[in-house]
Amino acid sequence: MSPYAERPPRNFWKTGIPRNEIGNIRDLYHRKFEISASDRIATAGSCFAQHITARLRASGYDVMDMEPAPPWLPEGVLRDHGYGLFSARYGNIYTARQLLQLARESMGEATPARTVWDRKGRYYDSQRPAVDPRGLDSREEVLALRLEHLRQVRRMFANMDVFVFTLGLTEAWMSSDGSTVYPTAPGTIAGKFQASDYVFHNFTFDEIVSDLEAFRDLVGQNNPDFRMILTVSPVPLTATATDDHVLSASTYSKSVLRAVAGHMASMHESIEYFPSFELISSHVAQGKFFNENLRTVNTEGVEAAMRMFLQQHPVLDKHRARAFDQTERVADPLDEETRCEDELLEAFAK
Amino acid sequence: MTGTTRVCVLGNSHLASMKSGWEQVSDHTDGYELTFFGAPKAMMDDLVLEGRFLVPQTDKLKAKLRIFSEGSDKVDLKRVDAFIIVGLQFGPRRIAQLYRSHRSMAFEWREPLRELSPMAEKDEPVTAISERLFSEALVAGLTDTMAVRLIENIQSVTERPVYLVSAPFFSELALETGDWDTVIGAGDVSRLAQRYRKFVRHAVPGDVTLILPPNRMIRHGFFTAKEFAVPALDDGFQDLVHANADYGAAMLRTVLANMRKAALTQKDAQAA
Repeated sequence: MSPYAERPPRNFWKTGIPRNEIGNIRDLYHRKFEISASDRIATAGSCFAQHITARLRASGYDVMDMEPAPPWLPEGVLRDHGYGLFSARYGNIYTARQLLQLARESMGEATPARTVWDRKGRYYDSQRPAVDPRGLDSREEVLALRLEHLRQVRRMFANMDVFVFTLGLTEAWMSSDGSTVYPTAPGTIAGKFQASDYVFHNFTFDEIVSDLEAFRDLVGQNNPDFRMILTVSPVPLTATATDDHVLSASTYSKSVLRAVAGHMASMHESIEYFPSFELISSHVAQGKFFNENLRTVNTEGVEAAMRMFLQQHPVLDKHRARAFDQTERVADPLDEETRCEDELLEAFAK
Repeated sequence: MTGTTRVCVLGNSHLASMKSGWEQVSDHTDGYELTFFGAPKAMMDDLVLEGRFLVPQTDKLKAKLRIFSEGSDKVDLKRVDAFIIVGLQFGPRRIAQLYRSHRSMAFEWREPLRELSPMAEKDEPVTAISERLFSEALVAGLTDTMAVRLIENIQSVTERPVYLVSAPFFSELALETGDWDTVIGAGDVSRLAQRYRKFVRHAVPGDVTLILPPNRMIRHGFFTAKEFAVPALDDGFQDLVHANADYGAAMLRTVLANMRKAALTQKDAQAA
């Protein structure tokens, strides 16, 4: 008898990929663990993770908000300032190294080089330059607010039950001594690029695995039972700093991240991989989940991914949740409006 | 404006001190006819614009308006020479609300301030925000008030002058509880007062005259002096939010002085 004979339908292309049912691939995702009503969920990652955060909240999950928005300001202003996008106001965290660095800094184990960037007399937190789009009044204010931010991040890591992290990029800019990674290239939002101060780095599989393991160990010291859901952003690179074509660079980046996520999930019972990446970006979807620029994910794509998630993790609190099924679309407050610092790189395209 | 100036005074519970104050002021003030329209809490949000009239949308509000105005339950905006808007969420409580949940790094006191929110959990955290966002949230909070919405409705119909009397500061009697000692000791009360004075005008719609209490009526820049506060009731309840008739009279005198000055300026301009 063939070893494939006992495998379920999901294991075969013919039965696992039903035609005419794009976005509803049954059994693509099997949860590894339950999320209970009392579980506190923290989210972080690239801009695709903003969609996940919004949809989890809309679905009634207890998504932590360590830095609530001030009252009365319009939604757009709040999002521009990084409120409500993730569980704390760290902006997009594109790389595993940045995540590890944030955890280390929040626990007093590291201090980034060049914490403050300036531009036209305004001052920016180099680790989250987009959360104060007009900059702050002084260097001191940046540093003081960063300390408060780190305090909230530390509390978040210590109290979360489930951490949802979306891996976004392998490419990053670092301080020349390699001690600090930045979420954006210096000179894009603020700061000034000088080749002597910054170096480009494209993280490898081994480095990313090592960073995620170190993150897990570090956070686990204070919170040994936290579980992690890893996803990979299906959004391709806006630009690459390698010599490769952006499509090749993007394929490399996503392939490495996907492999890392699968590896981490296979190594730890407390880590699972949520396959939104393949649902949205594989050829099976025929590109229907992307906007016209073939880069950003459209509402249907986000809905398809979250529908897959909610099939395994049903809505827990129907009073808190907004309707979410195939026929009723949830208005995504982030439609076309995710805050993606890397998109600013498009301005440099000739 | 010639002859009697018809003044429409609209407000929420803070209107009580103004109406009581008018009884002190009216005997010495010729030429002004004041009609008061008021209802407590957020009820005045149900007073909507229909053509040239402000009309109550609920029977409850209609009844309240009749009591306060002694008969009228709607306002014909074209038959009013000047408007006085009182409180209606526009006041220092907004900055206190903001301070309760969000503080810029300029503020020293970092712990929750439960006395501003008795229902709050003990460990309700205070979130740090930039100085700029603090001021923008304050202005947005003052703008998002029944007072400003009402003024916008009035100004869409008439160009008659509008005077906005901010709700009073907290009563100085609040200091006797000791709850504010830490905040005052840290210097945050003066920071609150300074920011309120600085930014309150940014929320005032164009062509509206903002009337704030003069310094002699204020303590620590942020509390209504106790001689203008509402005394405690027999059962011990102490109202720390509203002011008394003397306060209302003082504010009305200020508004009327402004009106007279504006009328004289207008007369001079016409003569020239």
